[in-house]
Amino acid sequence: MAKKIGIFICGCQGLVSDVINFTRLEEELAKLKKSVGARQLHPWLCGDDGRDLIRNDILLKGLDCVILAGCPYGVNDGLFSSLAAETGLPEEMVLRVDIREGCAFPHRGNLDGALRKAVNLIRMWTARARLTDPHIPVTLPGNREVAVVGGGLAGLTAALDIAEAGINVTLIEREAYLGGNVVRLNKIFPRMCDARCGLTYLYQKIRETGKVRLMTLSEVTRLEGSAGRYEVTVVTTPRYVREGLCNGCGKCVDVCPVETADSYNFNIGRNKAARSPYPLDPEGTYLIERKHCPDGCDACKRACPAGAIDFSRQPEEKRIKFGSAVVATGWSSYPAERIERFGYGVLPGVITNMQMERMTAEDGPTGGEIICPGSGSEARSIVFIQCAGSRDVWHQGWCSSVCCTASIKQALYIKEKNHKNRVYILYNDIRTPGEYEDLYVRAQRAGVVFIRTNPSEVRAESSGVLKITAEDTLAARIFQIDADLVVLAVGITPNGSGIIRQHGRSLEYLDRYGLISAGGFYAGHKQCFPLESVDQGIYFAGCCTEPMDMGNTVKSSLAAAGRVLKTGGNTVYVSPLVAAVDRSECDKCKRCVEECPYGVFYLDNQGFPVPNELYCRGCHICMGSCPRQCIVPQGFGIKQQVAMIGGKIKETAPGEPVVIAFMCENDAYPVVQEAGRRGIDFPANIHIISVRCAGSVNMVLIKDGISIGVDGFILAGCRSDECHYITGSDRAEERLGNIRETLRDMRMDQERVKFLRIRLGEVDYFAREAKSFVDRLRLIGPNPFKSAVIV
Amino acid sequence: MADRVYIDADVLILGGGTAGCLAAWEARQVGGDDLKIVIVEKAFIRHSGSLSAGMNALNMYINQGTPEDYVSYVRYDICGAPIREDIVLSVAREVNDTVSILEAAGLPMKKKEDGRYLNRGKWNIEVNGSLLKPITASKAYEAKAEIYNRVYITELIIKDNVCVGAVGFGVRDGKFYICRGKVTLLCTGGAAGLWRPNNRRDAHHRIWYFPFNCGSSYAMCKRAGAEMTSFDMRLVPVRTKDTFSPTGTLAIGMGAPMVNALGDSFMEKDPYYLSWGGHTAPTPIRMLAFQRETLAHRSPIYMDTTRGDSAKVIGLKGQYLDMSPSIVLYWGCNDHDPSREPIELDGGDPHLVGAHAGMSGAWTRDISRETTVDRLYVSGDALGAAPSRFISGSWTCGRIAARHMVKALKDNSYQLLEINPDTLDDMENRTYGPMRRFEEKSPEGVWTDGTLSGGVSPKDMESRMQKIMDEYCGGRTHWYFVNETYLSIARKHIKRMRNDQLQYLCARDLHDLQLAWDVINRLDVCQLVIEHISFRKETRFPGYVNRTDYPETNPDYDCFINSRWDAETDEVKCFKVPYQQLVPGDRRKQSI
Amino acid sequence: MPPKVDPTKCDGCQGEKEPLCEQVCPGNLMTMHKESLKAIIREPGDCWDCMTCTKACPRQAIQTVLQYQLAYFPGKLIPMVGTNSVTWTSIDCNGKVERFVMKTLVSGDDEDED
Repeated sequence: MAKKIGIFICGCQGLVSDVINFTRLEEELAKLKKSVGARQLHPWLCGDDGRDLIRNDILLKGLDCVILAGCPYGVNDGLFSSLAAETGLPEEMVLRVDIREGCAFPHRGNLDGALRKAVNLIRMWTARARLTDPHIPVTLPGNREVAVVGGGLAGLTAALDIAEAGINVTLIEREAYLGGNVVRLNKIFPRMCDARCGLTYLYQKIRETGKVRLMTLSEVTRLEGSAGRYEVTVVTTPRYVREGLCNGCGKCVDVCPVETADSYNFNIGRNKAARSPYPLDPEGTYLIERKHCPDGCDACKRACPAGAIDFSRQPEEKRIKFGSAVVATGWSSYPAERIERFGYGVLPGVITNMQMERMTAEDGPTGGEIICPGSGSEARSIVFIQCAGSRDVWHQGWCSSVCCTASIKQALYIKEKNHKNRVYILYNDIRTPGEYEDLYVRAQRAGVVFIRTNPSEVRAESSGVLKITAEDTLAARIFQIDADLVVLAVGITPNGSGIIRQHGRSLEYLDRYGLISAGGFYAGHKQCFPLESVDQGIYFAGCCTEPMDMGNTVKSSLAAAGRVLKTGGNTVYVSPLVAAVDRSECDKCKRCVEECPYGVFYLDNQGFPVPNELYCRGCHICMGSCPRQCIVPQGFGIKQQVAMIGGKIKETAPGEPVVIAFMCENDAYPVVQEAGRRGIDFPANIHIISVRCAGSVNMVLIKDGISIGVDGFILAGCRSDECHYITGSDRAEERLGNIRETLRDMRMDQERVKFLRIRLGEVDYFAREAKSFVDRLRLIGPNPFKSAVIV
Repeated sequence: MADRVYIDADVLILGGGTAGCLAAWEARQVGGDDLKIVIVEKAFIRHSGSLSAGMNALNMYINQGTPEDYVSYVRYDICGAPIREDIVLSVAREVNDTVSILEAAGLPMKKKEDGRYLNRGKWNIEVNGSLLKPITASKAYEAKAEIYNRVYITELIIKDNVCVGAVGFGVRDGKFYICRGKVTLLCTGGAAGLWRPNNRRDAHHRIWYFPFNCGSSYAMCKRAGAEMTSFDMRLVPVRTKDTFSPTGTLAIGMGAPMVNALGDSFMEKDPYYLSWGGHTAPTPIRMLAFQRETLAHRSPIYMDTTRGDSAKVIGLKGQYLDMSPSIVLYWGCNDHDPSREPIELDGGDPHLVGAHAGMSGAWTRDISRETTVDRLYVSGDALGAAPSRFISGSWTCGRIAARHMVKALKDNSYQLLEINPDTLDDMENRTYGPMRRFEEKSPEGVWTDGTLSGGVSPKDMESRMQKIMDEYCGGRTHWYFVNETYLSIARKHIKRMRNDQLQYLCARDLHDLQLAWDVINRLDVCQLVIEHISFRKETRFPGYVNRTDYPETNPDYDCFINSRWDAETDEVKCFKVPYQQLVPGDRRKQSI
Repeated sequence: MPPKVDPTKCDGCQGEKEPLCEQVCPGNLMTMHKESLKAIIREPGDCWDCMTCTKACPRQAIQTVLQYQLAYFPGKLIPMVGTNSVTWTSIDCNGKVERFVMKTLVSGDDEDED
């Protein structure tokens, strides 16, 4: 059915009409007939009578689509979208053609060119309007329930916030206890308060909401589905102690014959297979860690007066459905034994910073005494080695941001215990941002010795004393220190890999950037979407993406909770701009699958690529990649773009080259507007089409243009590392390079196509490049296909 | 055992080509939304088959006159020989309608000022057909047919002379496909590559017809026990030398005459050729003239483009780009300017093409296109005794067949038939035979050069077959001459290859298995060709088949030669079937 | 006129199982080389010169080259496929260039508006 299109051209109180001769424009546009239902040139459409004119035409003439030629998107948007609302015309059926910033303003010195360009632009947009349809909303059934994976500080914080909003939360924790790493800290900086205090408070509040189902000893083994309809498989290890029967007498522990290193205390001290309840264990009962039990042993079972012990229990698999999730799987210490020169695991006097926390804790294995684990004697001389395995290409490249402050905190514990203790901190750089600087100053005042060094090794003397050899990098000399105890300040390794990689979608491409292999989850865009995973509805909190301190962990958890609250719902609304595949045209080449920066495509049972609408961000890079041009999103897609190119774009002056420029709407296009606003002149030859991303431009548009005699093309995207869709501008450049080679093979000048990387503000750069491009085209001469044989 | 894929359909279409795609579309039109239409295609439907390079004209279109006039033209164009006028007429009545369907699907038609199609001669219109196949395939997609690409059909499943379906193997996945249809349309094209091609080695597929059409439709019909017709009539094309590009563009499009080395326009001089219309003489006669001039040492023979409208030459290249781009490169690389130099011609290897200027194919009971095997229909090149349907006619043919199929399906409430599991096992063994043999022999049975010591590769077997056919069954080497003595040698060798040598045929992978089945099918068709030519003891199609022992036409053979293959004795029994003239008039003259 | 694949341009359709040329070849001739992961023709002589692969290649990595037994070196024929049209550039053995544009599809949308 042919559409009725209304074309409304605004003189903008002379700003446009003083440059573009409206009388001649009217004459030119009178030639446009097909499906044009109204055509009005008006001095000021923003004004009341201007808007009345549009409104009346829409209603009385039954217009399906309206083209407003004047100022660009971003200017007076409210005025015109309200117009759409008043008339019932869908907002996407109001198209704006920029003949002000993009035409009248920059071409004030070329009145004729400006007029012809305006005619071209309006023709192009009319061609686009003919193929523009109202969006069909994309909705999917959703689920309001939320899963939180990880019961540490981040998970508990997020769970509480979500539960307080009245939403059911399932919290899945791998250990028997909540609180993760934080619960095992002695004190937390900077207030030096008890770590368990805040966690207990959180836990109490969570209990009060009655909305959180706590699953301990539970691990996620599989994640399926997509936003609004996720499903995880959770395997719960039994405690082998029946709920409600255990009276807490502790006889099981008494009789238990095995002793194991105590993982709760980071292997400082020992524990038994049967063990007393952990702090912050929601069940609060004894439990048997069966993996440590000798075969056939049932001593505890026989000893239990309540008959609470039941070895027949099996690990239980549950499937949990939820709509969105917070992943807060936390972090682990970097394995210190990998830094062989420091002797961890070989020399008993070398411990990690987390072991130090347990050792200084009152409830720890030493009852707060700082001892040498080998001899059991009190440690009097303690050396901290900072950046152990951090900022080190052989280990972890990054700074874990908290180790400096943590070591200073521990140094203060030691000094507080006995100010005669000698404490040395061997550091690279001390990083105590913000108020943590106070702690640094306090430690210095307390007599902690800070030495800027590069420690090379730790050795044990025959006396048992540890000898640390290091280079003093300030004094440029090698020195040695003796120590009773060496504390390695190892960094944070995010507990990232696992869940999402089991999701069945290929995320390997992300490893090209080394993000997953570094251990962390891949979280979208560091600045703009720091919490987003590639799975819509799944957000990250805490250290599973990158190291952070507790304050930031809480902040990120609250933010993730906020995101979940925003996304959750019984219906999931998806942007109608998501990718869609025309299966009748698709040849299953899978290039879209490969080139999608978010890995949103999966293959159905017939091998067709199907975008998961919920993961798709609508960047349309797939549309740019598709050799069959069968990725056809709603809105402004390849069909409309082809029609715009195919519209009759005429020379802006006789013999002048015709140029089409595709510009990224995020950076490059705003630069053009800025140029216009500042009245910076660029050649009128350039007809600009703003696109989602330079990567969304399909090369067929250039091929089409070349075949109909367009003389030059500009494709403008962001700087490589600034692309809003990760790879878009790089893809665009690569594809364009390919076209350039083809042009060379075809004995055409490669200079006809140009790739520009423009960042916001680079107005002069754009104007200069545009001018030199057009100058170059004039030199090269017309597109030879203008004189080709038409068969 | 291979993994099996079972496919059940209401309408099963074997071959997603010109006829198959339009058959699917028509079946949907008349059969409604519930009909399950399945297309099984050897390659990829959007680009497969003879249309894959495109085509710049549709050779069948009623620009003027009536469908009856077209029948009279077809009859004349094969020297007045018998044709199935009922079938040609049924196509001619609908062909214009079909073309308009394809135009609506996006086929760019060239038009005159008055808006009518730009014709090229009486029966021919020009198009920009470089996407002819994708456009054709779009009709199958539009019909929501279930399409299975890259499945090579090896055999029809026949039960008591009823077609149950077909089996084949997945060219990519190696699975064994078992397809059942309540009705089955077989349209897997004609046959190229029976005879040795002119170009050798790395150019051996530079032939006129699509080299991957191996006559599987003929071979499968034959093995199914269907009645076959007119394998004594093959197409021997006069084409541009080396590239074997079509010459219609030159002859009809440019009006370039055929001339010999002396520059004589012999078609316009010799009274015999003149009696057939000179330049526009029937296709076999033009071939005959080419042979005679060559044998009289007046070769090379040219198409004289220098005498035509030289302004058209650049456009000529453009037209070839839509259909046979290689000739444009050939001219470029050989510094050949057709406006200054004539274009040399050559006689190519013979082809069996039921829908072009050839007639071999399956015999059909009536215009329903149902073969003598119940529920088995044929269209396109597979359909015999009705030449000159070309592309537009094959589209139409597919449509007509589909209509009859759907009607028969509904009228008789056909149901799917059960297949005996043992039969399937046998078929599977046969299908994968060449590959399993290779697996048995590999790797110890391999020579140092990688070829198989315990078997014969499909390529080698094809070469042997092509050599025999070329030298003993009227190939280009003998200028298409043949006699009973030659035929008996050909018969002996082809028989030996079929009965004794196939047990050594080995395929190292699925691509090879496809080639192996190509050669199995071709050998089956060779047998038909030898027996048919031998049975027709006259020369009815001079130029196509020149019998030196019976050089004249014999009124006793003014009929169709049909045959049936006997699986027990491996004999092809030929017999005569009378011709019925529906359109009155002199068969050796065009009515308009 | 078998297809020759330029290894610097071919990306094996990004390492997917079936590159596009393999997907489309009517003769099942194109395939992916197991080691280089680039497209390769199994048997150049088996090609019919339909140029489907050449036109389909999204990287313009395939060139069709005439067999030397048929014609001299060099010379090129380059199709460039647009949405509704194809352009051909023919460069003969003397370097002379001829260009052609032809329609391939009538989309119905592109009718003249004036």
